[in-house]
Amino acid sequence: MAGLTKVSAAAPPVLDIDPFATRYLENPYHFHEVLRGAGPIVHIPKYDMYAVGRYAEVQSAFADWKNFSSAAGTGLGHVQKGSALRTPGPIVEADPPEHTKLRSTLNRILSPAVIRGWRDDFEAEAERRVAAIVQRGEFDAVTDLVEPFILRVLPDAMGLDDEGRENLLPIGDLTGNALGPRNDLFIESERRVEPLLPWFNSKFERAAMLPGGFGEKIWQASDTGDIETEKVMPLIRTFLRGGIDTGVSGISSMIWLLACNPEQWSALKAEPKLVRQAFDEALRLETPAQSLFRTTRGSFAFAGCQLDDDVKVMCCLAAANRDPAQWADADNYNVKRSTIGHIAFGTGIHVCIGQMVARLEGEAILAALLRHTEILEMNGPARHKLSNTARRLAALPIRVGRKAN
Amino acid sequence: MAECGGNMACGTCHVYVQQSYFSRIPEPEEMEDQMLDATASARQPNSRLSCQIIITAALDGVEITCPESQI
Repeated sequence: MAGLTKVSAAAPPVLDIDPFATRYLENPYHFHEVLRGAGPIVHIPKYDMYAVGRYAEVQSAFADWKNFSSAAGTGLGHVQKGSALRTPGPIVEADPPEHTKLRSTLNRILSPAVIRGWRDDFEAEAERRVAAIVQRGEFDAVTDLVEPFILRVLPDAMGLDDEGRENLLPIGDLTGNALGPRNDLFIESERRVEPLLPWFNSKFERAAMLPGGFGEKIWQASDTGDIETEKVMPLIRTFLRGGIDTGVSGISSMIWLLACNPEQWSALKAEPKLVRQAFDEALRLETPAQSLFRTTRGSFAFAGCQLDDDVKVMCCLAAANRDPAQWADADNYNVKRSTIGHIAFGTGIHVCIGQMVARLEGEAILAALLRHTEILEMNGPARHKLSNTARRLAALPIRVGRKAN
Repeated sequence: MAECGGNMACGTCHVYVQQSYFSRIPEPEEMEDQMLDATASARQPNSRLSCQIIITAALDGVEITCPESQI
């Protein structure tokens, strides 16, 4: 019929690289630039996936849960078919309407009011640890300060006993790797976690929850029917897998950026009320969960390109958070920057539920450092742990003390 | 403060809206309503999350008050 020509948008441009190659994982900024430069959305043949890295498109994809579904998993593996087949996570890997009621219940269990109730404990723990460690003058901020701090406060808030908490670190490492392809990094971290699984699985049980923690509250929500009983243990697993390594990553990166940028440390010294902003700015620059995945639902046009149905989409939050089209001096750490709109915690219906916990952790540690040391500087090279999707410092030698007169 | 960037996930953009203008703003959805129950300064009948208020001509001249604390 005349006039009824359907004009289809073109397929996304091809970007023929492997984002999980060691050279890109070692230098994520280079990958971010390549990804943003290649187009608003690209097709990466090696994994037959799409990828987005510009702020506008990552934001739009995350806002559009209907077209960009989480139900096939938020990693590269498609959990509804093929070799990665498994039960999707109860909250992270669910779309509305299943997602909605559960999220609402969890929002109550982890409301800002509940988290404010933890403030005194978190601050006391940060104060105690920082006061002790600055006495040494030199320390590794990751292994001597941030990891022990997070392993204390977060499992305490959940209501976990002390035994074996350090196991949560390799388990967190696996989470970051398992979102990527089944490469050596994935297989190696899985091998390290294998012997820890009996311990890990025992920690989801109702009997394992100490009174007063939010783990107990999640179990109680199953008594009232607000949470289906079979979802309780996977939910507790989700919090323990997602909440430890990301917190360690964000706070370590913040200390790293401050130690590398003495003028920012001075600015903070002069204006300590900027602590929370300093933490968010670190998350923007060194986004702990660099990428998360969605899956297209149906064929549709996006950013001027025609997308196919049921294809994985790598959404690079870290690239978006450094997009020069969104951020002036995007690569600079600036504690006075308004960081509103950064998407290190994601955005949309799946936005990180623990973000106010993370901010409290970051604020507590940084405020204590500001109280206890005049200088904060590098004492040797920092080292990152390679991961398919996580940005994570493994070593951060720091020197603290008084200014030389 | 608006830490979460408009996701109704932090409650740090809590404000009080001038009473006479309050009804001109569409009612809060459930997520916002829940968050308003958990704000740092007490919820008042005219409490809203400012990130959910779309400024229209009908709101011209509205006075917005920040609570004592937003964290």
